[in-house]
Amino acid sequence: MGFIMETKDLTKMYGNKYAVKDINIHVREGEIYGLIGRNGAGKTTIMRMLSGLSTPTFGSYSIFGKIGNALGPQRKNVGVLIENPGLYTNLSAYENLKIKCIGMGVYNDGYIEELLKVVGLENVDRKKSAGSFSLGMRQRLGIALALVGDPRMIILDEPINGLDPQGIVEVRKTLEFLRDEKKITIMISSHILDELSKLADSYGIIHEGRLIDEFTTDELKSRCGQFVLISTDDNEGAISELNRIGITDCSIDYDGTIRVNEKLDDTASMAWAIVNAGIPLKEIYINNTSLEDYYLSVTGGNHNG
Amino acid sequence: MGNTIRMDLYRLFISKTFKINLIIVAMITLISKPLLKLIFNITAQLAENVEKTTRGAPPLPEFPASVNLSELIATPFGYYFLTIFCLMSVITFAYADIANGYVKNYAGQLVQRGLSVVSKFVVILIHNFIFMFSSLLASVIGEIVTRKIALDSDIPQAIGAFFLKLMLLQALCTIILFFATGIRHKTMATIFGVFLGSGMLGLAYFGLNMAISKIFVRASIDVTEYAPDELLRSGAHIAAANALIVSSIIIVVFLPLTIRIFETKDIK
Repeated sequence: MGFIMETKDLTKMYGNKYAVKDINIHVREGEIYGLIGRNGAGKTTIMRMLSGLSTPTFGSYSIFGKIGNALGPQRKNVGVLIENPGLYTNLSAYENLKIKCIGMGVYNDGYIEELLKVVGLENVDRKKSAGSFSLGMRQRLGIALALVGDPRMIILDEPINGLDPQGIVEVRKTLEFLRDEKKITIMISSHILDELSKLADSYGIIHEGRLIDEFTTDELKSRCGQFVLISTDDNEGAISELNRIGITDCSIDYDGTIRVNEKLDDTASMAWAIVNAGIPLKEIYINNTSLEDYYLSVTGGNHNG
Repeated sequence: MGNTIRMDLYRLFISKTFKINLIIVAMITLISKPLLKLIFNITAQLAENVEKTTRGAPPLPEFPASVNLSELIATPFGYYFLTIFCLMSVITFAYADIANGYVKNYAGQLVQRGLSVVSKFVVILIHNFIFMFSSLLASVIGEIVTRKIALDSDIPQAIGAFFLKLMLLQALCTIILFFATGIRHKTMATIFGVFLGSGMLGLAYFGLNMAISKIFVRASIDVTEYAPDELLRSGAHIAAANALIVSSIIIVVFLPLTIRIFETKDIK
């Protein structure tokens, strides 16, 4: 399988400390690749290196089949939005875009209007300064800036961070449009795993500076499937009762609930056994593993994804 | 490269700081000429009144009826302190995209990040020419309404001095570019700009001269002859060789250094 972007043992050190180490990421053309990890895990560091804003200490990366430092003119095919959008707040969206359009040599009549339309800012007052934009509008302007020059790939670091639900939906639709209609490959990081799961085709989990897992949406489904969640006041007692009726594939989950991975169609027997033993049963239901559940299970729990 | 220069030129021309500083420099230069004559006339009037009561006091010389065009060309910033406005405009321009993070939008997409520094250097040269030429133009207009301008024979030499000063100013701005874009320290760039623009380093040069003469008893070195800001202050008879060598050395050292730092230091 050919990849539009790959990293090989990508490592970044600040002083003697590893920010990220031996990262091997694989992004396919035309997909949305979600990079997941808690604050400080190293997502932004990786994205900075891939964007050409930072130099790897060790390892390498290739984009469009060319090694990072040999990308040359191909560099312009990678648009970026790293952390907060860098904007001239005293200038309008149009002027902010015009600066980069001139720099990329793509400024012509109608081009900026087209970009503003793609990100849904076409109806904003032409003279309104970017400083008076809402966070969502700024993020969308940041995405528009990343799209200047029609890059084949864009790297977006937390583009939906801090947005209200409406803003999140708008950005999601924009990204889906870019993938489906413009055939742009997108790498995106986000804390909002539920939202990311609606958008991404592949994922990479970064934990403490290392890539601990990489999988597609289909792989996620096959790895996880369904399970039963049981909430009681006496987990130990409940598990021994489940064992007594022949259910042994169960464990206590990160949030203190019991997770049962077998005999999912026999929840009535499970409930009966627990209640009969005099253990108060708070809740019992069949659950599908979400991206968040999977992330928490592979990173060991703490809910800060 | 051409696109990056065009982008930086556009950034410069829509910058309020550039426009405001340019207007301040031009207006001060323009107004100062007739104002100087007015003050001279008032002083002369007062002196005349005093002379009537105090016999024997020497009469004040008359306000010169004309000025040589070469003098104006050789000292485009009629008053040295106006250089500070030019330097402040350069600092704002060189640091603006770093301060607001706009640099992140394009630096990674350049074939080589260092091209951004070269582009800024070129645009600053254009910026400095605009400042010097505007100030010269304002100076000429101010003199036209005040007195006659004589077309003297020193004009070619004065034009040479004009371009030497442009080169010296560019050298100072290259150091500012190093602080603002290279090591990305606006405070350092501002301190440097204020010291140079206000001529405050004169005291340091005096101390340096004293120290040199104490250490090397027979030496008669005057560091002001090699200081770019002091050379920039001089009139039509600028030490051309010194100006050329000093400004060349500064540019040759600081421009590649800034490019190197900008290419290797992470952009945040």
